[in-house]
Amino acid sequence: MTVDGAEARGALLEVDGLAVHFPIKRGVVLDRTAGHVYAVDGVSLAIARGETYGLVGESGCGKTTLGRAVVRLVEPTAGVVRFDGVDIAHLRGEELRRMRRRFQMVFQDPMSSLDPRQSVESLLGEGIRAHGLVRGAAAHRTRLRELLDAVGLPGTALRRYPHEFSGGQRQRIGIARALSVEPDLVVADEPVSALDVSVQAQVLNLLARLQADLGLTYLVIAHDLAVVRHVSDRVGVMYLGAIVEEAPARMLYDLPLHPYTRALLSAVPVPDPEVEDRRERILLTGDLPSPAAPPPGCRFHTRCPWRQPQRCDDERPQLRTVPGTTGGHWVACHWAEEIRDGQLQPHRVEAEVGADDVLAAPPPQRPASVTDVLRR
Amino acid sequence: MSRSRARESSQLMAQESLLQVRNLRVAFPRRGEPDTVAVDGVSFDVAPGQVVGLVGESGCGKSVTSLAVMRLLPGRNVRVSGNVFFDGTDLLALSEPRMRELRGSEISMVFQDPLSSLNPVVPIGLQVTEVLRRHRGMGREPARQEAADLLDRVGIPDPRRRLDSYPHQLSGGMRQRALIAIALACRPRLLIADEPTTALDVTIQAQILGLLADLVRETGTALVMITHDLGIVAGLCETVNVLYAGRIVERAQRHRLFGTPRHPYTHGLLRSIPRLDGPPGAELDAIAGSVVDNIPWTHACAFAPRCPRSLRMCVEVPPAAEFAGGRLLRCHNPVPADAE
Repeated sequence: MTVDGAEARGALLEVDGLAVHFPIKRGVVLDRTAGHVYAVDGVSLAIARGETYGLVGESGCGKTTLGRAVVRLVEPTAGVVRFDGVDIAHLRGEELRRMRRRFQMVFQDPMSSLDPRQSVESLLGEGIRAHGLVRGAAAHRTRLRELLDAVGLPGTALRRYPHEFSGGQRQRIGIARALSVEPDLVVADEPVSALDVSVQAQVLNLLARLQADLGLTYLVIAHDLAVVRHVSDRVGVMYLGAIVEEAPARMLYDLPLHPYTRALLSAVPVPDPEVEDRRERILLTGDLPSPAAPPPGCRFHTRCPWRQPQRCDDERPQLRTVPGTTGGHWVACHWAEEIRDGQLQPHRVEAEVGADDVLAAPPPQRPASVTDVLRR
Repeated sequence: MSRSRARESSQLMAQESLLQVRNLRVAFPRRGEPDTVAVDGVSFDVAPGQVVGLVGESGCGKSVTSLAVMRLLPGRNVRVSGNVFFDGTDLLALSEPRMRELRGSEISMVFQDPLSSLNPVVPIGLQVTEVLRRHRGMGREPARQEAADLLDRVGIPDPRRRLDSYPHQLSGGMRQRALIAIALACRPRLLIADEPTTALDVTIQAQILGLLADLVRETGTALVMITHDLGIVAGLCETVNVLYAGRIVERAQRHRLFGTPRHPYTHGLLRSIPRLDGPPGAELDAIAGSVVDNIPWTHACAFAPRCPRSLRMCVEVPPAAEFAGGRLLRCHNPVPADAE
C-alpha cells in the first residue's frame, strides 16, 4: 500500500504491519498474563527522505508507542521497521548501537528528559563521544558551539544546567542533543505541547529551519491538529492502535474522509470568533474504548455517527484509496464514498456503558497510555 | 478623555454586575528580595449569564486571580489587597465561616485536573450529595435522587449506578463532568472554571465546552473562563481579558479582540499560533523571548523586552490602562486599528 508509493521517492523509513502489545500481568506468585493492551496493532507507513510525517490522535491511541517502537525504545511484537533498507526491528548489540546514531528522538517534557545533574556541555557531548564523531578537544568544542548556534542558544549555555533555562530553551537543548549525532531521522514526540503558546512558534520555526538546513526527516507526533498540520507534509490519524486515515496535510484538512478525522477536525477550537460561530461540530459521545479490549470490526464503530448495520461491527476496514480523490489519500472506512457524497447522514449515538467496562475494569495503577507513564 | 472613559465604562457596567473585581493585587513576599507580584491591579466585571474569559500564559496570574476571588489562597505569606464585590458584598472582607457558606453554593469552581480535585476514596455520589446536604439541607434519599439528576444533566450515562463509582473508575472526561456536577449542585450564581479542559482530549473538550455553554444559557450562571487557549475563548466568551505578567493588557468583546487585536502581545499571540484553517507550512510570526525576560510593571511595560513595537518610552514609563472604543488597552504604541 503506501509503502510502494513512497519507495519510489526513496523512503527512509518504512513500517510494515507493526504491532506492539503489552502483556497485562496478574497474580503475585504465578506471573500470569491476563490479556494484552493492543497499543499499536498493525500500522504500516512510509516516510520519504526530507519529508515530515505527522501523527495525530488522542491520548491512548498508541501514537507515542508507535514512535518509540520506531526508534526501538520499546520492542515491537510483530512487524518490520526498515530504516534505509535495514530491518531495525531485529537488530541486536553493536549493530543496533551504531544504527541508533541515525535516528534520534526529541521528547515532550524537556525537564524530565534532560538529566538535571549534567551540564549542557556533558548532555550534548555524550552522544558525540559515544559514537566517536569528532577527534580532539578543539574540534569537540567547535562542534558543541555549532550545535548551540543551530538551535539559537548562546555559547555560555555550555556550562549551565537544565534548571537554569526556561521551557523553550530546554526544548532547544533537547533538540540540540538529538542533532548532536547527526541523525537522518528525528522522531519528535509532542515537541511543543509542554511549552507556552508564545514559545511554541519559536520551536516550530526552529524545527522547520533545521530541516531545511540539514535535510532532516521528521516523524512528528502530537495531539494538536493545528500544530501537526502546520509542520507536516503528510498526516496520519491514529485511533486505537491503527491509522484510520493518511493524506497530504492540506488534503486531509480540506477533505477529511474518515468519520473520526471529521469529528477531530471539527472539535479543534479556532482562535477566530467568526469561524467559531459558523462551525458545525460533530460531537462524539463517550470515550475511547480500552485498548485492552478494542471493539471488533471497525474500532471506531462504537462512537461513529455514521455507523451502518452492515460491515462496521464485524469487518475491520483496511486502508484503501477512494475513487475521486487525488493521490496519496488513504482511508480505513467501509463507507467513505457514501459519507463523502452525502448519501449517508450522521445519526445520534448513545454513549455505551455496555459491558460495564468502566465500572469493572481498570484499577487506578494501570495507566491509560504511555504518555501517562512517562509523566509519572 | 476622562469623560469618554467614564461613559464607556458606564456602558460596560450597564448590565448589572454580579462580580466586580477592583484593583486586585496578590503579592507573595520573599525574604530579602522584592515581593513576587502575581496579580497586579486587576479589575473586571461579570454579569449574570455572561461568560468572561481570562487568557494568558503560565505565570500571568490568571489562576491566582481565581483563587483570590474564591479566597482559596493560603493565609500566610500572601498579601491580597483590592476589592472583590460579589452581589455588592466584598468577599475579601468576609469572615471565613460566611465565606464557607458562599463557596460551593453561590460561587463554585471547576479545576483543571479532576483526578486531584476529587477525593479518591469517596464515591462520586457521596461527593455530590455532600454539597447538597451541607448547603441545601437535603435528606439522604432526596439528595441521592438530586445527585443522579445532576450527573444525568452533565451527560454521564447511567447516573444511578455511577453514584457508587470511585473517581478512578471514571474516564477523564467523565471525572470532569462529575466535577462540574458538584460545582452546579447548588445552582451557583457564579462559576469559575480554571482550565477545565486542559487535561482532556479535543473531542472530549468539545463535549465539555458545549456542556458549559448550555448551562450558562439555561441557568443564567455567570461564568469566568480561565484558559491559555485562545481558541476556546473565541468560541465561548463574550468579553475577553488578556493578562500579561499580572496585569490586564487588553480587554474587549471577542469579535473586536480577535478581529482587530491592538496590544502587541495579543496581536503577536494570534499570529504565532498555527491555525487549522490557515495556510500550512508558512513560517510563524513568533514572539521573541519568553516570560523570564519580563521587567516589573513598576518601572516599565513588562512586555517591552519582547515587544516588536517597543519605544524608548516603553522601558521608561509604565503604560496606564486606557479605555476607548469599547476596548481597554495598556500600551504606549498599540498596533494600528486598520492593520490586518
